[in-house]
Amino acid sequence: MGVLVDTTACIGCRHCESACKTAHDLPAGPLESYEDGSVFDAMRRPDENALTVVNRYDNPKNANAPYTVKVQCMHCDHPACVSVCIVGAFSKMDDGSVVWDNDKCIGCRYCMIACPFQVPAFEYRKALQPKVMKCDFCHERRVEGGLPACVESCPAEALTYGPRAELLRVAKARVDRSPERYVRRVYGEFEVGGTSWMYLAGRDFKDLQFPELGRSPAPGISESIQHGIFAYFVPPVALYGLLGMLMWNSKDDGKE
Amino acid sequence: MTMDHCMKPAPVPVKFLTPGVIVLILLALNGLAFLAGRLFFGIGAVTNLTNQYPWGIWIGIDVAGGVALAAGGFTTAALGHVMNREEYHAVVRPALLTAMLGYTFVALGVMIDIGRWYYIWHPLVFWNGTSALFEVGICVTIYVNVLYIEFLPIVTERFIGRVNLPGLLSRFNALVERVLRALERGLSKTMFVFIIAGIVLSTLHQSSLGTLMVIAGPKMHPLWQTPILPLLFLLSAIAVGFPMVIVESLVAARSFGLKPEMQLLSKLGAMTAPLLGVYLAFKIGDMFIRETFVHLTVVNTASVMFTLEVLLGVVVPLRMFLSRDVLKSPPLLFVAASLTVLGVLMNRVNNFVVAYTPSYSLGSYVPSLGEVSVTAGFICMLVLLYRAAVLIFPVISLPDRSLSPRSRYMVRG
Repeated sequence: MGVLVDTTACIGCRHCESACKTAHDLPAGPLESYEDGSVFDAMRRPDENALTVVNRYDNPKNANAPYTVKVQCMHCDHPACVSVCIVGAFSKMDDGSVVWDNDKCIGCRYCMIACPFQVPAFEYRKALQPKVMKCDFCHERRVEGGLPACVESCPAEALTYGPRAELLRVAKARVDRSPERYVRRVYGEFEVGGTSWMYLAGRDFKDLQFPELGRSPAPGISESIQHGIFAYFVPPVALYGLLGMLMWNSKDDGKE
Repeated sequence: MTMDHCMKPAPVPVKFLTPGVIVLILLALNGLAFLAGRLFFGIGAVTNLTNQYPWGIWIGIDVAGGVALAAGGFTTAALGHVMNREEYHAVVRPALLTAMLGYTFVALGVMIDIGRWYYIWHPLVFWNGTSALFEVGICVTIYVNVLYIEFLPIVTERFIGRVNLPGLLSRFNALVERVLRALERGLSKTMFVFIIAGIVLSTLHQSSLGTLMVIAGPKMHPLWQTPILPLLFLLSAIAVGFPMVIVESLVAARSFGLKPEMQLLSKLGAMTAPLLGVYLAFKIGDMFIRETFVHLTVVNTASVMFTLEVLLGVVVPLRMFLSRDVLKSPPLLFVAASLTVLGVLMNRVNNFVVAYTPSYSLGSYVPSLGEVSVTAGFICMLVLLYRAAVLIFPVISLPDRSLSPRSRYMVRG
């Protein structure tokens, strides 16, 4: 499953931010406080207090209708965080979500180094049990048959929830129907091997501060290096044997 | 007969406290104060780390730098034990002690940097084979233990025949003596297993430390980001092993009023030249294959740091190690070795801190007073423990009293 974010439909009401906080037991504040447009003055990133944030960008086609872009974990199909986590605290679930396990995490923050979208955040101010915080695609709500909180709260139908293949078809159909409205690209279709969350946009994704990423999964290179060094433990064992032979041969050389 | 034949490892007969040592103690206490702040109020209270810059100098210097500079442990073990070059045995013990203490502080550095220090044991239980960090963690954990085992014979050598427990405990003297002797017998037969294991574990984690940043991909400056990072890390670790031994040996000689063992050190210096050369060849070759030299045409932090790292940290010392005059002169050899050490340290800091440029940066990272204090404190504690250890245990080779009676250095015990 995944979500298609149509940034041309988003009205920037930030109800998703509020719903997300409520769903994740974070202090949400009154809904009216989200009408304050001044937050758009600076670019924001998801952090330990807000797992999703909306940013605003100019619309070159219509100055009165700026683009607003919701940002959260992309839920990669081949997540870097899952690959690098020293204790395997991240998992990619069958329902598309990438979830984090509070019981395993040691707080090393390697996931934050590795994430190509720079999403995971850390509770630096906690002395005990600091958490890595990121969107969990409302995994638990969905297990119970619900919708992700943001999708449910969106009044503009900018967020479409469904099977990934279906979403891709919908996305391409929309672009075909209104080619003047969209750039011809579904962000997340191929990036780092594909993501569960995908985006449609009215202007170049680079201008909306999406990172330019290749098509190969983020863990590709480092995992092949790892597997090369550790191919069935042959290289380390061979090195051990070689050194042992060298040591045996030189046993008497140095003795005086 | 060369001088080496009358050199024997022995406890250094000097007093522990000197004015310099008191300065080190004060700096160590300052570090401990900030460390307490980190433990009681969280990482954010004493560091400048953010969601954009999750790793700082605690990882760059304490962990990555510490692992690299402790490489003397496995390179001298390979030279002294595997190649069995008897004449180098005098540097094996000091290098082993450095590695043992170095890795202990690497482990401590990791422990205070991770958010949940009390879960440091988790990787032993929860495995993730795809993670380079998991591999580094497991290898370093085993290697620390191997280093302590390798150090045990020095402990048994110090105390066998001299066990003298105070007061009521003295009734156990004979028992402890027997245990020490059994330990010594067992270790002398099995030590080769640990020595080879130590070398294998070192090559594994020294290289995997380089793999760590590969997955950061475009978040890392192209001057450093390359799929051969693990190879560069391994080659530079091998190259920095002997220079680190040289620096330590010369500092120890100065500090304890001993004659520097130039005969040995200049041989180590001469061997460093080809090792540095291989590292430089791969570093420059990689730069040309990936055509990253274009980034050197603009002047910014990255290009300046890269140039300094390669020129001052590799090219200059390489040229120096090739010169006979340098190899013969203690001050010049010290400069060449120090530059190599600083170059590799700079490389690790560059890789983990300077090169890391997050796509969404809301500011830049400059280490806080707390981070610098803790790092400095750890280094001071390491030096203090090293000094204490060489005063207690037979680590540093001193002129043997029985063979050179005119020596002015008295050997205790």
